Amino acid sequence: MIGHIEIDRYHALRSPLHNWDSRAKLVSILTLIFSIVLVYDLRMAVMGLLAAIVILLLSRIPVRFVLTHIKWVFLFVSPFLFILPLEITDGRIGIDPYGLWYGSLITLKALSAVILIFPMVGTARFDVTLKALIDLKVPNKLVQMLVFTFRYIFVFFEEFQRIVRSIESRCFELKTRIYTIKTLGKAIGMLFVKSYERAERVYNAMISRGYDGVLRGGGEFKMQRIDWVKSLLIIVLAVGLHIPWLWVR
Amino acid sequence: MVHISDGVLQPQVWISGFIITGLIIVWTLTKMRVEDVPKLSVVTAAVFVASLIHFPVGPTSVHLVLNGFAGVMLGIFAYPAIFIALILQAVLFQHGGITTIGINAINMGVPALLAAGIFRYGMKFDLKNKETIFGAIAGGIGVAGAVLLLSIELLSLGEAFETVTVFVAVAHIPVIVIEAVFTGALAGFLAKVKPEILEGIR
Amino acid sequence: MENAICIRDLSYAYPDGTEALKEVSLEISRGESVALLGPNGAGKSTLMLHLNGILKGMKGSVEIFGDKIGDVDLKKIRKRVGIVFQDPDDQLFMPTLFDDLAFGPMNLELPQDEIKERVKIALRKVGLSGFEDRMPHHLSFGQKKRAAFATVLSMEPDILLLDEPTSNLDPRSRFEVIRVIEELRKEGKTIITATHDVNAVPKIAERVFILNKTMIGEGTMREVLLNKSLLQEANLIPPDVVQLFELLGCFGYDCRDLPLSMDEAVAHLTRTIETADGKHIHLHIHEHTHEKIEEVRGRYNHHE
Repeated sequence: MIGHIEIDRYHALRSPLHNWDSRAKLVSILTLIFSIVLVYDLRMAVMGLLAAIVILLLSRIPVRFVLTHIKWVFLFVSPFLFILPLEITDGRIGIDPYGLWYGSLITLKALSAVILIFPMVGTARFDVTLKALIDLKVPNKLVQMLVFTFRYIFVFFEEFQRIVRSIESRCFELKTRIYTIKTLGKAIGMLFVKSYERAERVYNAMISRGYDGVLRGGGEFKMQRIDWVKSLLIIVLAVGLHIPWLWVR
Repeated sequence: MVHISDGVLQPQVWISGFIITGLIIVWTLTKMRVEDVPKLSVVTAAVFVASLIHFPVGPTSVHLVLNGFAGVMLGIFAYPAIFIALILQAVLFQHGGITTIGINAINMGVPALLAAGIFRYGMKFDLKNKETIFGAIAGGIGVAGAVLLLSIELLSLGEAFETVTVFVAVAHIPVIVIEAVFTGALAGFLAKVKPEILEGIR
Repeated sequence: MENAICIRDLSYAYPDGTEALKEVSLEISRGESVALLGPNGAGKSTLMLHLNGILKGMKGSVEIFGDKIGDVDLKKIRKRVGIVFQDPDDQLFMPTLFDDLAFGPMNLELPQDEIKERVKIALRKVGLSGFEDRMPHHLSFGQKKRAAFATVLSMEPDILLLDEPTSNLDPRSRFEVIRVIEELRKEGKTIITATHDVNAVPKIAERVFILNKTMIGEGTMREVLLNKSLLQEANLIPPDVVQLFELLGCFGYDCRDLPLSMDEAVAHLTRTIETADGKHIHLHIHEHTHEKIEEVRGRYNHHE
């Protein structure tokens, strides 16, 4: 599952999103996501989803790749889409129009948001995106936690796989029983023991190289005129989604 | 599936989520010393990986939430750890949502803080297996608290959400039990193998 | 000559009270390359952590180029003393190799251009040119180990502390790492290598220290590698070449001044052949050959 953290798999393509300044890209698309989620009209939500799809297509990230990743969204949204509209009155199941409306609204917004994640962080190497956070003046400690946690997820995943393989090679099978939970529990316990020891060693390696609590650097980003234009377009779109609402109301 | 995805909640709710989470994060960051940051990050990665492991339960499988355990192991720093994990989860796996990171951090993090407090309080007793007992309580409270907060938020949306809320809450009862048993066993194991882990990240 | 490192009566105990180092003293001159041998748990890594102030001894003192640790700014010490840790995953904590190699220089607040230049040079030195954008988890273990090496080289330290640089490597990667160390020796770096790899010692050190919580022996590479009782205390046996020549001795080869490395073996054979009658060496089996072979082999296989 974690073997494929591959959100930035298509970072090397060329598109208007790929050559957009990472800082501006993050801020603009985040604004758009927030704007779409704030929409309270089904038609506007559809507009939002269309906008998200257009931006995705512009990014040239293969649609099939995105589809395989957004199946999770349906898992999270399904209770709202399928259970919310149900209305149980006197033992009969009916459809509640409000529930149906709200369920569709939720689904549209959730889909738009998740689709926009791909053009937002899938069009640059993930480490470049993280560096943009330093330049955006996100609290340095938080950026460090993101950077280092991201790095060690891979290390611990491999470590856990090694532990599991060593258990499996002694004829352990995953079945529903207390023994399974106990054994996996010990494996996870070992993972934490190792992580604790590793944390100590990583810290030593860091201070050996002059670490003083601050993560320096950041990308050498430069805003060109075209970057401003792109950002302005997206922000206008984000704000524009709410203008018709003023009339509708 | 304790996370709320984008678009479910009223703006007032998720915006307050960001404000409250922001305040708690600022508070914990001021408590964080230079050496805590890298160490905390490494351990957060381990908790993140562990929470992705699936257990077979009958025909389906569940994964651990581990927010209670994060409280046991990391104390108040469980909150920023959960916050970071939620961001990475949303961005790398598209789990949860973007606009709900703040409220999800509250749902997971506040019970984690509670679990941290209870576990630390429990350590004062002179009791055999106190790590296992209070670990189990912490683990159970972690998930139960998260489900409770989630239910309150869903009910705030109106009557139409009653069915969904009941559905979500009931679906989580086995998770609470598994999490409690598991966190207790884990804390007991760590108390034997490497007790300093339970004294917090410092 | 000026001392690069001077340790006096250093003692250290872990927080739980276990004694790790006991009155350790040693002096290493600038440009010298030494090996630190000792069984697992002898305190080799612990000693290294004292040399840049990560650990502080309870007793004794450590001086780096005359600066006593504790009296001067640690950043100044850490700029001059680089440690290559045993597990490269502990040392590669950034998302890409460039970020990892730039981490040290950035903390020294060097200008951007110089950082880029240093990263490039360091990668070239370890044979990983062009790997700037690679992510650590996509590298093989051998590449990670060399990358970890490079993260320290980019800081251009005067002293390098290497903790088991050749462990767990395939022969080719091991050879590559040894080559890097040889290059650094030529550059005049002061190097301490903690290792169990006796076969590599002749290439990477001129002097050897044997540590087992306290310093139990020191001498030139030759003195120590041929001192069986001393090696035994470090759970080691002499290099393969030594064992081979001792076996050749059983067949009548003249084994004075046993060679310690392949290079020395070639020289030894050449010398023996050139000085022998008829310019060839003569090996034969005599009545005691088998007994002697048993004796030589038993020497390294025996259990206490």
